[in-house]
Amino acid sequence: MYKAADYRNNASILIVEDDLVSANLLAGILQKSGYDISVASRIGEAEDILAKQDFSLILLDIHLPDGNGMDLCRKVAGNNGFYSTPVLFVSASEDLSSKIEGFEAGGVDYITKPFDGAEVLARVRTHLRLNRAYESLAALQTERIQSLSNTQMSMMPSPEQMPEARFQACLRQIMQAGGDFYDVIPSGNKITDYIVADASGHDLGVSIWTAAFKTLLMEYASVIHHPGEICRMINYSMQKVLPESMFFTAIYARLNRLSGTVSLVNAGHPSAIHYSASKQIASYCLQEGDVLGVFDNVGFGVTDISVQPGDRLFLFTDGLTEHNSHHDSSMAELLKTCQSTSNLPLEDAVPAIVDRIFTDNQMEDDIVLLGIEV
Amino acid sequence: MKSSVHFPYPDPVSYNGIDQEDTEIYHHKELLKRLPGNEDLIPMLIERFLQEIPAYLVDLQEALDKEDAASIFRLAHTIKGSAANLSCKKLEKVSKEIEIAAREERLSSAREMMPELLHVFSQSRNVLLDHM
Repeated sequence: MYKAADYRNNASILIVEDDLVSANLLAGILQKSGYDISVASRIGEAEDILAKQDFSLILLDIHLPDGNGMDLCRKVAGNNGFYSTPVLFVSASEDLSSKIEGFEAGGVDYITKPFDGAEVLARVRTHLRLNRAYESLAALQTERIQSLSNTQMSMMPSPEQMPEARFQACLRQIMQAGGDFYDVIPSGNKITDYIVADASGHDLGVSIWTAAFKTLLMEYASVIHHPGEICRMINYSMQKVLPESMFFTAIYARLNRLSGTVSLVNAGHPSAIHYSASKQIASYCLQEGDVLGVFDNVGFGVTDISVQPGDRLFLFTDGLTEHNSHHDSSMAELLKTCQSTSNLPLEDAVPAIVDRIFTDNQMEDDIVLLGIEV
Repeated sequence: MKSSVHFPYPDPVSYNGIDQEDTEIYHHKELLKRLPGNEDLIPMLIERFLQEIPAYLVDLQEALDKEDAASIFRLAHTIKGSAANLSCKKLEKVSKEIEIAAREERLSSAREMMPELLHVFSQSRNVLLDHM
């Protein structure tokens, strides 16, 4: 793909013109104004040059001995918009149909013979400036996306911030502004709420909704409300504001370290894994439930399990188990890996699980793995 | 600068009473106007012109002989462009007529205009040499 040269470097212009008087005239004028100039007198020559070098702008004659300049124009400019090098084509003043064809082929402007030096410079400058503005805009938007991702990352607490919550998280983002996230909220004395959620879309707008979700969590997560109730309240608000096609799945685990119980609430999310230290076996706490943000009346899987010190709980998003077509085998694989890493300290076990799952497989989706130690 | 190009045709007879500064043949002032601050390019451009055009004229004659309308069009178009850029209006006009004739497949008309094209080029060359 032909990309416009970085405007920060000296602006470079390619002239494709077989009439050497015209080519030299253009080259002379432009060089005097400080541009780096290359000249090709054939389409073939131009393509060879373009294969090795990017240009800030191309001046292209239409009638060339070895072909129609329009074809080259299409290749360079095409429909790539501002990521392509601006092409100004050279036209005879009376040739209206060529001008139209030139624009349709992706040319951004034209200059006519005989060239007026001042006019050529003005048009070239205009288009270099315009392209520079496009590039600035693109850079700015990329920066925005990055900071959205960073914001999302900073929304999620790190284990060091909450040592008493005894967790480790592994988040891998493949998508630009992912919809997978987790949260850890101390909701009461020796009671910690762990949530992993997954938004259904992956485009930029998702970050806004995950922020909204987190806000609701912060609002409701306390011992006053049971996790099931909390999920219902979140659903109520989300359902009113989320766009048609969007929803969240979530798994909510409230660990009461005093009573040794975990309340698990499942809203259409992959089931949690419980690793029993005494039995040295990991198993799924199979649950089903409605997704969040779609239905008025929702039902969630609610289960209470007993846990012992040393036990582990794993909450994750489906990127971890949906990576190959054999869903059952990847679920079994995850279970095995949770078991086989039980000898590692939690902070090592969690990343190790992710690495072991994805040694042979390609990560196609964002993944979150939240490991909790009782 | 001495033109070292070999013409396949005898040098056309120049008319008497031609005004050497006939601006239709070469309009120096207009060229200067189009290249403000770039007058120093003119000798180089003239040199290029005097090197390139004779070669195109040879090719053009060949194309006329072969009745290759596409090449006649392209060559006449190129000469027209060069002439326009060097403010050689008369040469531009004649080559444009040949270009149109070729596009409309009126090849005999095109052939008929060739002697005039050569003549006008010869005139242009004489004037341009004075401006180098």
